[in-house]
Parts: sequence; C-alpha cells; structure tokens
Amino acid sequence: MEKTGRRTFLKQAGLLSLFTIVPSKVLGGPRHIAPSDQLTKGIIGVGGIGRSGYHFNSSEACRLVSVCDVDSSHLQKALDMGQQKLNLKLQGYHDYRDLIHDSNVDIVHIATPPHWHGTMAVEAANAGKDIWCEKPMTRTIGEGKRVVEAVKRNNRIFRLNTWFRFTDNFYGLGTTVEPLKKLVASGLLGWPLKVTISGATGFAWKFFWVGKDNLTPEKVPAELDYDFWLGPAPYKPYNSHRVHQTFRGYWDYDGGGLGDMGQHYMDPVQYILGKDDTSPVKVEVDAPQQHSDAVGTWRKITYTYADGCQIVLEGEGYESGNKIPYIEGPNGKVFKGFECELNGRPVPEIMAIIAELPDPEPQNTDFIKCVRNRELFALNEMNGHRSCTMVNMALAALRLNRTLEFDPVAQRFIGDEAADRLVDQPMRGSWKL
Amino acid sequence: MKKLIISLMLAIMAYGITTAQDARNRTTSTIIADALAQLPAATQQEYNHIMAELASTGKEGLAQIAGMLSPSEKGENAKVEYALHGLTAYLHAEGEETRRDALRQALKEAIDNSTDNPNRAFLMTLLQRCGKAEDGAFFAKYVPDPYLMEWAVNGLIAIDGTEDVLMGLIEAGAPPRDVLAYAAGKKGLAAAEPAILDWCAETRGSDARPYYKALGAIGSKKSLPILSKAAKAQQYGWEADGATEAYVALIGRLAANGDAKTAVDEAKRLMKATDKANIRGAAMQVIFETEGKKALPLLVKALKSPDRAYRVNALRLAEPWADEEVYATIAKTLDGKDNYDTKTDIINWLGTNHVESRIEPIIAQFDSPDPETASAAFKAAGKIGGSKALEALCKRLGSDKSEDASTALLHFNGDVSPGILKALQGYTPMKVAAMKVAATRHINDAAPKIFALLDSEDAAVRETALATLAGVAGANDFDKICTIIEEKGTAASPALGKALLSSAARLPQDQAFSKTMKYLAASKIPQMYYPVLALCGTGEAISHLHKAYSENTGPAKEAALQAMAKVNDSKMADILYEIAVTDDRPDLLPRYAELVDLGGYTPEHKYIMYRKGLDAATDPSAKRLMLRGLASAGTYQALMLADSCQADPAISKTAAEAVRGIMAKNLGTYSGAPVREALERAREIYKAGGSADDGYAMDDINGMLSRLGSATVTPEYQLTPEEKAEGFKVLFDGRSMENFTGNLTDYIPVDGNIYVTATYGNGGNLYTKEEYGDFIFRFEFCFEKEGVNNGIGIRTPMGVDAAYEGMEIQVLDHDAPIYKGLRDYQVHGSVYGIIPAKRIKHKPLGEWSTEEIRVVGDRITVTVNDEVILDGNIRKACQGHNTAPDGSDTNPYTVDHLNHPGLFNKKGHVGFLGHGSGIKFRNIRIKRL
Repeated sequence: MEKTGRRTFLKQAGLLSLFTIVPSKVLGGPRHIAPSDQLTKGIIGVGGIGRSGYHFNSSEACRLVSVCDVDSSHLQKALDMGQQKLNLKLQGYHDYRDLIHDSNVDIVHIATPPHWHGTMAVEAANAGKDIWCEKPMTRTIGEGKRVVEAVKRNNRIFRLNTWFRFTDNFYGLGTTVEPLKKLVASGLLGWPLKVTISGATGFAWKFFWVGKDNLTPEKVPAELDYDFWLGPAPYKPYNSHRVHQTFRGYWDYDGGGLGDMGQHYMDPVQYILGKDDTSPVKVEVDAPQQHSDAVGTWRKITYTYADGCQIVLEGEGYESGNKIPYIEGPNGKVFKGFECELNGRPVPEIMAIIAELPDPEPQNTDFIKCVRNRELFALNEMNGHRSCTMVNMALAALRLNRTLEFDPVAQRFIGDEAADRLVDQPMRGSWKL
Repeated sequence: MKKLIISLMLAIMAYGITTAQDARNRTTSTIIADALAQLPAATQQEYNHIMAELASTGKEGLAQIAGMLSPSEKGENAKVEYALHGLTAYLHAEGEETRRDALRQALKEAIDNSTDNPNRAFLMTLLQRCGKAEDGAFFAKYVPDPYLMEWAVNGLIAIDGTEDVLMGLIEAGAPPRDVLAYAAGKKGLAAAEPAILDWCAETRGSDARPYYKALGAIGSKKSLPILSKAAKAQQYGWEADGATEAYVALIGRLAANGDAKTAVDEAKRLMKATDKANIRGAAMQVIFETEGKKALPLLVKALKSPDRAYRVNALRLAEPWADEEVYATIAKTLDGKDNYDTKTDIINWLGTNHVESRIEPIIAQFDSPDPETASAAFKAAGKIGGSKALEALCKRLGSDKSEDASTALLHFNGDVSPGILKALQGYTPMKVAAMKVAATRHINDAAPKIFALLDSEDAAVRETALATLAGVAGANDFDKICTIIEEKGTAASPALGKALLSSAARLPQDQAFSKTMKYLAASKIPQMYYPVLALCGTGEAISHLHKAYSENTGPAKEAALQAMAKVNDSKMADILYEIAVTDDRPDLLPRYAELVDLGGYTPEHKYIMYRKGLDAATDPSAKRLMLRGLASAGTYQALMLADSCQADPAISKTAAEAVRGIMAKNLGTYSGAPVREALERAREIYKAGGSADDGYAMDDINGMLSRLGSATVTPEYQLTPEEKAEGFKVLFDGRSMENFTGNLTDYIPVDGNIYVTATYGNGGNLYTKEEYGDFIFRFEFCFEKEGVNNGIGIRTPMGVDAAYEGMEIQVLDHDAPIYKGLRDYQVHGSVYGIIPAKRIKHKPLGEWSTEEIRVVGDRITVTVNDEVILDGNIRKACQGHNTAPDGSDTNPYTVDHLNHPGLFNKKGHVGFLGHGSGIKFRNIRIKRL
C-alpha cells in the first residue's frame, strides 16, 4: 500500500507539474527520509558478488526490494538471505526485464557476468531506472558506447562500481589515490608519465581466471536456465566451467584476470593522469597465443597515449625483478608504498610536501545523494566507459596477438579491420543493442 | 630437422608461389602437423612463424586444417582451434588479403562439408571475423538453418557490403523475419523500411519488438505514425515491445538526418504527452541538440519544473551551447524565489562549468538559509576560483560557515595566500581558521605573523599559532625557533620540535647539521635537536646520536634511540639490530625489517639479514614482517627458511604466502623433493584457511606442483662397467655440455637431462664437438608433449640441413593424430628420405625410451627399446645414386626423390636437429668403431 501510494503520488505530482510548481520539499528533503521517499533497489544476478555483503544490503536511504537470477538456486538463496539477514520479503524474478519493469524499483543493480552488462544497462536506462553496474562495465567497446548514449538519452544516474579513484587504499600505493593525483597535477614528476601495474608495484593480476580448451558438453543442471544465462553470448554447448565462478575464463563472457581487475587498477590511473575523456592510441601485447574460446595468460601489456604517457601491465610471474617505480616521470618516481624520489633523490617527507598542494576538485561519491540530486557520480558511464575501453582494447590485442592502434575520438582501431570487428561483436537473438 | 628454412619460405611467399610441398619436400600434411605440434605458440615471434608456415600451405592446406576438426563433443579440437583462430587473426591483418581469400574459401568448404553444428558455428564465427562482402551469399544460404541462423545473420551484420544480399532476403519475405529486421536495423538498411512496415502491421504485442527496433534505427517520417501510436499505447513507458525506445530513437534519427522540423515538432509533442522524466528528457535532448541556443526559453522553463531529473538534464544538455548570455540568464534564477533545490542545481552546474562571470550570485548564496544550497555555493566558488571568490571565502573563515569555506579554500582553483594573509589580520576566530589553512598549504609568508601570534593575549590564538608553526616554518626561521626552544624549554616542546624539523628540512643538509650542533652543544634540552640529526642522517650525525644513546639515561637516551630509528639510511639496519639484541629492544625489529627492504641489498644479503631478524623477533607480527622480507629475497635458502616457519601456527599463513610467492617467481629454477614438500605444506595451510582466496591459492600451488620437475638432485651419469669396458665415452653426463657445440641456448641441461627449449625456426642445432665415422651412439629420449619432432644427424657438417648434407635418423612422435598423413620414410628411426624404419608404438608421454644407432660403413642399424627397427644399407637403398644421375633435382633412386649429396660422407658430427620444445634426452654416450 505504501509502495503504490508513493508511486501514485509521484505520478500525480508529475502531471500536476504541467500546471503548477510544486516545492521540492514536498518530495522530501535530504535531512529526513520519510518511508515514501526512500529509494529502492533491485539486484540482477545474485551469484557470488550479488550476494556479497557489499551489495546485498538494505538501508534507510535505499531499501533492497527485489532480486533476479536465472539460476533458481541462487535466487532462492538470495530470497532466504533477505528473510534471514535483512528481515525483508524480497520479490524474486527470473527474467531481469520483470525487475526492470517493477515500478517499486528505483535503482537497478547489475551484478551479472559482463556479457550482460551492456544490454541490461541500456534497458534499465530506457525504463527510466538509475543504475549501479559492476565492473568491467561492458564486454566490448561498442556496448559501452551504447550504454553511454542510453544513459544520456534517458538522463539517468549511473555508477560503475569500482571505487579506488575516490576511496580506499589503492593496493600497492598504500594510500588513497588522492595524494598521487595531487603530486601528478603539481607537475613535480614532470611529463609524460609511465605507470607500471605489476606485482612488483603491488598489483596482482588474477591469472587463475583462465579458461579450459577441449571442453566437453555436459548436462545443464535443472536449476539453471542456460539459454537465458548466455543471453547475448553465442550459443555453445554447456559445460559447468563456463558459468558461475569460472566464467571469466571465456572471451564470450569476460576477459580473465584483466577483465576482473583491469578496471579496478586502470580507472584510477586514467583519473590520475587526467585522461578521463580519452583513451590510449596504442596497445602492445606480449603473450602466448590465445585460444578462440578460453582466455589465457599474458606477460606484458603496454598502453601509450598520444602525449607519450604509458601504462605498463606486468603479468603474474613476469614482474620486473628489480625495484621499479609505480609511476615515473622525467623528474621523479613513486614506488610501492608511496616511496618517492624527486630529481634523483629520495624524498621521505613526500607526504608533507603533498599535503601542501591544493586538493583536487571535490568528487560526488555518495551515490544515493547523486540519485536524489541528479548529480553525476564520481565514476559514471562516461569515465567508466573510458577505463573499461582500456580493458577491451587489450583483450582485442591479445586475441589477435598483435599491436593495435586506436583512435580515441572515433573509438575505433586504426588500419586493422579484424580489430575493428571486435569493437562491435555479434549479439545473439533479440539481445542486439 | 625436417622443416623448411624460414628465410627460404619467406622468399617463396614473397613471390606469391604457393606449393603443396616445400623446399624440403615436406608434404602439406607434414608441414601442418609440424606446425600444429608447436601450438599454442609461446611468443608472438613464434606465433608469426607458425602462422606464416601454415598459411604457406595455401588453400589446400588450409582446407585440410579446417577439415581436421573432430566431433565437437569429444573435446579434442584445441590444437586445430588454435591453428584456425590464429590464422584468422593473422591473415586478417593489413597486407594479407590474398592469403586471407584462401582461408575464407577453406572455411566455407569446411562449413559446407561438416555436419557437426558446434564446429560449423565455430568456423562461421571465424568467417564472420575475416569474411568479405562476397561471402554475403554464403551466409545468406544458412539463414534458414535453425542452428546456424544466428551466425549466418550475424555474419551479414558484421561484414560491410552485404546490404544487397540482406535486402534480397528481406524482399523475398522469407523467415526468420524478426532476425532479418534486427539485421536491417543494425546495418542501417533504410531500403528495408517498406517491408518492415508491412511486417509490423501484421504483428502484435512483444513480437513486434524487432520491427519497432529496426524502424527506430532506419525509419523515415513514414514510420512515425506506427511508432508514435505504439508508444502511446504503452503510455510512453518501458514495455517488452520496445515501442517507446524505438519511437524516441526515430525522432533522434530524423533530427540527425536533417529533418529538423519534423523531429522538433514530434519531440515537443512527446514532451507534452508524457510526464516520464526520462522520455521528456530524451525529447528535450533532440530539441536542444537541434536548436542549440534557440532552445534557451525551453531551458528557462525547464528550471521551473519540480522534477529534478528534468531540470538537471536540461542544464546538462545546454552545456554545448551555453555562453555568457545563457549563464547570465540562468544565474538570474538564483535571485528569484525559486526553490532551493533548483538553486542548488544551478550552482552545481555553474561550478562544474567553471563559470567565473557568475561568481557574485554564487557568493550571495553562501548565506542561503538552505544548508545544501549554501554548501553547494562554497564548493562551486572553490572550483571556479578568482579573487572575488577568494575574498568571499576568506571572509567566511571563523564564521558559522567556516568549515565549508576552509574546504573550498583547500581545493581552491588558484593561490590562496593573499586572502589568507589578510584573514590573519582579522578577528580571533578568523585568525584561527586562517592559520590552519596557512599551515596546511605551507604559506611561508604567513610565518612572521604566526610567530608574532605566539605571544597573543588570546589563549586560543597562542595555541593555534604554536600548533601551526611547523606548517609555515621555512629555512630562514631555524634560528628563531631554536631561540624560542631555549627560552620556553620543554613546556611547548612537541610543537616546537615539529617546527624545527620542518624548518631544518628546508635547509641544505650541511647547514642544518652545523646549526643544530651549535645549539645542541649549549642546550639544556639537547634531545630537542636529536630528530634534526636523524633528518641530516650523515655519519657524523648518526655517531653523535649513538653516543647520546650510550652515554645518557632516561628520556634523553630514549629520544636518541627514537631519533636513530628515524634515520632513513639502510646502514642503520645493523645498528638497530645490534641494539635490539643486546639491549633487549625487540620493538626496533619492525623498523629493522623496513630498513633492510629499503637498502637495495642483494638477495643473498637480504636473506641473511631477515634470517637474523627472524631469530631475534619474539612476537608474531615482527616475525611476519621478516617472512615477507624473505619472500622478497627469493633465494633458495629463503624458501627453505620460510618452509621451516610453516610449522609455527602463529606465522604459518605468512610463511605459506612466502613459499608460494618465492615459487611463483622461481618455478623454472627451484625443484626437488624439499621444494615439493614445502609447496605441499603451504597448500595444507591454505586448505585450513578455507576462504575463496585460499582456494585460489591452492589452485595456484597445484599448478606449480604439476609443473615442478620431479628430479631431486642432478646425478652424474656414469657408464655401466660393461660399456666402460667396451670403450664407450660419455657425451652428456647430466650436467656439462662440454662435449657439444652449436645451439647451447635452446639445449640446456636441467635435472640431468638435456631439455630442448628451442622455439620454432630459431637457434639452430646442437652438435658434438668431435667428428665420428663408424660408431655406436646410445641415448634415451622422452616426449613431453604430443607431436614432438626432432632428429639425430650423423656424419653431418655443422650448420647445414643434415638430412641431405649428411644423414638424419628421424626422432618423431609419429603416434600423434596430427601425423596421420606421414610417409613411411618419415616415421621414427628412419634414415630420413632413404630407408623407412619399422613403425613402432611409442611409450606414453613422459616415459623414457632407449635408442641405439649403429653406423658401420654403409650399414645403419637402429634399435629402440631393444627392438631393431631399421637395419639397412644406404648405398643399396638408393642403388648407389645419392644424387640424380642426370644432374637434375629429381632423383628417381631415393624414396623421397631428392638428392642427398652428403649421404656417403665418411665422417661428420652427430647432431640434435631440434624442431621445437617438448623433448628431453639423457645418458648420451658413443663408441668409435
């Protein structure tokens, strides 16, 4: 009753608005949240990540109301968890479109494997929902472009969920990225900069996310709607290694450790380097040949931007043996643990120096507030798409096993038709974007 | 070594000649089998070689590869998949058009010939990747196939230039119409509109989705009525038929295609027809993008909407065309009576766009009664910057909005010092807030003022001045601070100490040291100066601190020690260790570990230092630090020490992490039973952990264990007494390669075997240093992967093709399926191209076989695992004609019909004719006859 009451009210308010001006305080202010003004969310995909405490929660500001999964055992677990942990009777759905259609849901939280992200985000935006999407944002560059367009067209608030650009210690740095952002912006390191993301600088690539070749068909478990799980991905005979905890090992759904960790590690770098609205112009790979279906490992991936800045990824087991800088410019270096060198001399007091530098522009990091105030979230569909493009560029280069050049404006590869065909990859059935 | 010489092959390719047999007379099947055995390629260079070689087999070869897929449910196709996927990528690069055509033909033939749907789908995926416009008809053929329809239509979508084919299918009206409609939409096939409109008219409900979607993507004005009607029927909401999205998309398309009037009219109609914010926003986007600044009145009107999403969207959409006039118009709203949320939105927008010209109305909102509006105004003023914003923000320091003002000043766009210096002259709360900003931003110009405020009558001001002194102190303030220290004594010491350090850090090191020593000598509280000595960190400074530590007691002694611990020099590691042990100060050990890490020591030295640290450490957290250090040292001893710590439950997890970490980097180097056991123990510890990450760690360790060499120690191979008596000589004793020459980089001794690590086409062969005429050559070999190809060269010169310039006794895993088409003179043990051997069944991979090659005059005898598989006479085998009697290239007398000019060599080297990795040899010995 409460739910429908609220919706009806909003609808009437909207119609009313054509003739009169309703003070927004009628819709509730930020200081007091009336139940009718509480935001609500629904989670699509309640496997590993969707059922983790970070996502599967409910608060006064944003209440969890529904969950969706094509695996009925996952769905049941989520419904039970809702009852036991949150004392909520959640609405369960098998078809994500029903969750999107549910007028009780304000925010759609996409926690499926990446091959679904683009389709679901576009549909949610079209349905007028705000979106919280897990990383990597999309499985192809083309799908990312569609998401950016749909979110803009429907004026939705979108959060891509990695957070290191604005909170938490950033792996090997041992601090948040803010001091590094300040240091880079100050020009003390010089320009261009080279960033090395490696075990040697405190970042591990999860190479256990590799696929298997020579898979044999297996019987689809009764609880899993495999065809719906595949969705836009090409149909391939079922094998349990393709789905659930191990899907990252297959190109059709993700891109291995790089897919899993790439956006976590590279999104903050795009922010630090001030590259949020652009992409590198070149990606080089050093890797064993990749299988057509199963994702393998790699030794080294090097990105180069038009201004000469570089990001180097060193694969697990292929890290530089010596102490190498996490970030290096003509005038300075920052090592793991924020050890710093300027003009060739160690600077133990670097944090004091950085503290004196102006803070970066404030970022909007409260997603619920962004939804209420319609402000762009710190990591939104636009910069999120750019950092996901880093991942997808390298995946294309790995699959083709060669250096690729990229046009950051057109967002296409240059002079390589095969790579270009990986920008927009075929989608199955009616799941075409 | 039966492989083509790469340079020769490249030369052939350059002239565009494709041949079923290469210069070495290898058949296409052999070339393919040789190449497949090397897949997946380990490096890009290797990959390029193998793919070039496969591609050189031309259409015949490529078709053969594509035809090698076995039934998909068996799961045995990985090698072929690597080959085909690799070829598709490789030949779809610029400059490979000709050979790509051969691949396309091969793929198409294979699709036609296959009956296995998953295999056909795989091949179609490849064709989608490399196909050309003329493959359109091929894909069209499979559109009616229920299984392959997806791939067929996606092929048409992926490949440019297939529009005519697609149009033909659409005009024929054949099923599956929905899929064809999607394809038309994806390809922007405007000509399909009439047909799709017809189909649409016959369809109801969610089935209409593909047609709506297509019309939204390719439609003209003619599609407007049907889409607008359908969208209206859904009340412009999101429904499974996708009518609303299609309708919105079509309006956008009309605008983009130049029919601005229709688009804008339709968009305006839509805006009136619905209250849905996202749909109205989408309509507004069309209008704003079409009309530009002409849409300003609409923007102004939108700002009066109570719908925040709509308002903010209007502002954001105006960004591309907003100019000073627009800013001025919008900013006027801030003066009006509109609600605070609207004002907040406008302020946020002006701030994001750094609109300096509108700073005054923003400043006016600092005093808004709505806290959110006021807070937004402060934030925007900081983002925008400029002198007016600075003045206004500084004016609020010390007020009830002091916190907002300070935050904005800390991210202020520009230099804040002029404003802060002025605020230091203000009333007390303003002074206090300004001092804090001055200290955070280290405004040294503020130092004189803050020194003066140390004597303020107001206690709060004095206190803040003292606390912020360190933040502003510069190099020139050193003496002043020392004087105050001596005057005030210990009363205010911690803050003064910080200020002193801050000033010293800005002085040249020698000056800081000499000044400090001067004050220290005369001071009653010398410990105040110890941290500065630590900062100087020179030998002299350290020895002074050491002396102070030894000679003092109580707080002064402790201060000297703490200062020593702060010295950022790895030399301090030994000193601190000494104190930690002799004076029982285990609390120094974490700093010791840190210094060792900083020190740039060799791995061996690091190991020694962390081992010492581990011995001295008493509490588990310090032990863990040492273990992490050991992991970074990474030596074998470090591994063994970490292993021994796995038994201590308090630190076992860290020890296991160290074992895993060391082995991850040294898997190729460390082996043997102790290593295996260490890893097994680590795995047990992770197993007990039970978390997901522990599970991954276990998988990781299992992977390492499976790759770990099984040999424990490298034994020296010795001849049996019998062989010794017979006169055999050891060529390879398990360790030394001293009897060999040639490619010593790819043939390396590991665990008592010669491992072949050669990458394809590189590096060359391995030869005995000495030459041999008649001899018995004995060795053992072991295949480690399927399809290995090697060979024993005899009586051969170095650096040439031994099979022709000498003789080659074939070494080949001929049981591998990839060698199906092998000729009899190519099987294992054959005198290559001259005498076929009896075909044997090889032992399973990983097991050792023995072999003897006896060479006496023209008689060759080959014995494998005690079975004679070849016993023949080379002269008889070619009837004495090792070269063609007529001098041509074709020799009718040899089984491979080629000339073997070196067949009758009297002597030569014995060689290993490597053809890629995956084989090892051991116990190699020879006896001259």
